[in-house]
Amino acid sequence: MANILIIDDSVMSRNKLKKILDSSDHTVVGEAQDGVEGLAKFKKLSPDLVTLDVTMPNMDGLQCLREILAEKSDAKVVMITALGKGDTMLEALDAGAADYITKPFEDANVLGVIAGALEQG
Amino acid sequence: MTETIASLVEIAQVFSGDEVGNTIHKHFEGNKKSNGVVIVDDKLRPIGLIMRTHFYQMIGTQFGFSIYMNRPVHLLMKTKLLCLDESCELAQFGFEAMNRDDNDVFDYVIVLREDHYHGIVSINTFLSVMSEIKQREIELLNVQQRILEEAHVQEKGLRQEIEMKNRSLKMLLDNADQGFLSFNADLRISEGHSSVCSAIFRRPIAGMNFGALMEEYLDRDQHRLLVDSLTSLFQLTGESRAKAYLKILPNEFNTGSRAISIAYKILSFAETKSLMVILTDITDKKALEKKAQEERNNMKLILSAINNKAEILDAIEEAESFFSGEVDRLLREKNSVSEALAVMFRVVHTMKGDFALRSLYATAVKLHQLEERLAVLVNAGESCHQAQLRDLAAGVDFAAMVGDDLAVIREYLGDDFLDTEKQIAVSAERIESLVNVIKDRYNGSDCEFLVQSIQELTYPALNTILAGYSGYIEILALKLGKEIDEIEVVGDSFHINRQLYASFLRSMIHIFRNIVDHAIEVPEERVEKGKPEQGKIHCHLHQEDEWFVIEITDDGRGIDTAVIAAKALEKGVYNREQLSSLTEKQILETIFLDSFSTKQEVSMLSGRGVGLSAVRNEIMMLGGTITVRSVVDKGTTFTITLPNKR
Repeated sequence: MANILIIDDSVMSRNKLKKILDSSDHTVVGEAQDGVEGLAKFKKLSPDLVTLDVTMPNMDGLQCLREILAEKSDAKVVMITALGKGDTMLEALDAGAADYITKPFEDANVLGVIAGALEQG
Repeated sequence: MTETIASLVEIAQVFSGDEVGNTIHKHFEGNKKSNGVVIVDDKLRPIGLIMRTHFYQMIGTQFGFSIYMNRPVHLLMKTKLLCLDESCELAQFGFEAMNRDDNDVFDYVIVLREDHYHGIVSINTFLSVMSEIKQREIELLNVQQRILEEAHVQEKGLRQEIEMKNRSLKMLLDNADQGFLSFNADLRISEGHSSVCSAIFRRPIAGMNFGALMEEYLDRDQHRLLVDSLTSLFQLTGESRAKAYLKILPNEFNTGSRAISIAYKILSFAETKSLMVILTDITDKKALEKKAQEERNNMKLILSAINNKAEILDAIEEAESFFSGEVDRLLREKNSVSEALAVMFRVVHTMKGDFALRSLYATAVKLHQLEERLAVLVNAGESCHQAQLRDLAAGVDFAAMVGDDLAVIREYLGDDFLDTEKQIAVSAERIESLVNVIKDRYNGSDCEFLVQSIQELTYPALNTILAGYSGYIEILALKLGKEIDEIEVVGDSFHINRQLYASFLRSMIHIFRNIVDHAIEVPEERVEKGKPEQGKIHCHLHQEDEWFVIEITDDGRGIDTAVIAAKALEKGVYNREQLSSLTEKQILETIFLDSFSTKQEVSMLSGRGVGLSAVRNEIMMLGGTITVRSVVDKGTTFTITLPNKR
């Protein structure tokens, strides 16, 4: 039921996420392949939630997260990361990310985390 | 007590102050119950009071009778009166009435209504009413006390019930295999942890700081992550975000001999925030899993032993001879220790791959450990001494390394499986001496035929050897989550001398490993690129008189020269200037250089980047060449050209 923006440099990850989200009642309103494009689309589309890959060219996920939150302090951002990146995730959560999802994706987990993030006040 | 005196009011006879004592006497005589009379003025305002006892005391004095009986009563009446309005409250009344002089305490209190006489309240009546009220109050208090007592009993029962529940819960927790502990924002472990916790940590932990407790069980990074995450978590207000932090926390640790898994649960996240930690001893589970894995490995080993008996015995023999004498020879022949070390490192690395390929995993693991130790020396560079390398080599007991795997083979296939050489597990020396015997005894075409026939046995077909890698590729692909078709071998069919090409054939494993690990993409990525999910590996064999050519082609992601160049720069293989003068082809061939790898992880599977350089070294030793062509996203072809040796 939420409008979601996917920011990820990997086509494969974007497609996989989109497939999972399309199977739910959420709508993917936009996709971006790096932080700069992602930030621009965030401003333009005002999505309810953003999925944001950590490792990306141009502007990495953490920087993009900070820019998005500077734009809208209560923006809901779910980070996407590989397993075992505890430090980065702590930094992202401390910076204000709502939650995170580790790759490889599991449908139930992705939707669970997004539902939890949307419920956050 | 808000009652007024209105209900206590009685009527007392009133008289005018002019009445004589005798009239009062007659009144008292005629009304035995009357204890007093009130004297009022003409406007019915009380001016005096004559109480029976007081009246007869006065009359009874000497001359009393003659003085008062015929004189007006205002002479003997009490004029110090207590007059109160009928609205006066009982408490106020009691206070005023009892504060009178001792002699007057039992006198009537006169009650007024709008300042006129209304009646009296006798102290007797007041006292009896008061005692009734007290009685009622006491009864009320008694009832209340009974209720309180009952409530207390009930509360005690409830408390006992809760305590019992807690006790049984604790007993349940204590007897569960899991340890439970909890703490608040200060991370101090609360008293109510279960006894399994004490067993796990082997010390009393109540009151300890959870972060401090875990310090000795986690490495520095994990511990910092734990403490930082918990600190952040307890500063939050929303439970949902707090749960995101829980995922970061370490989920396993070891206490000496036991493996413990940790799960975290938020107990409350309102005014007080508290977190529960659930500890599970998973040592046995892990041991079982390990045992199951060992069983699987054993089965693979048995299968491999049946299918590749000759190759396995060959590899063992070769390894034994390497460790027993080759290292010394290397040190003598090579110009520097580091050169000898590099060769040894490569040999051990290839050997590890070879034994893993033949499913002798226990041996491969031990070779991996040896390789690790060699890697330390390699990294030490020039400072490595000959003696160190010699000591290390002397310390290698290959028979012990391979012992566990051989024991498994003997256990399943019988003690003499490895000794009865039904298949061609015949050493090169024995064939050579057999050939020599034949050459001594036979002549001409007979001799030629016999020698040829015997040697054919050791000349397997190259396509069969290459197709034999399918099993290895399948296992490796499975481990890496990839899908790969069976190797396709096409072209000329021809035999080669196994003895001459043994090292080269063994090194080929690095090419296949590289293809599976680095080149073939995971199925999703392949579909994305418009390729079939299964990767393909294709071998083309071609033979001429003097040479034969092996082409190995995959349809993977290809080699990106930009990535290779960046890595070469990072690893210091080339500097920027050198790189700019290299052709694409030269950059591509960097992958054959020692110590170059595009992956950084070191594992038994992926190797250390000595893989492709080991292949090239084997080929060069045979006098051959290897080249590589690659198109990004289309695939890579390795072309190996080798002299045809007989």
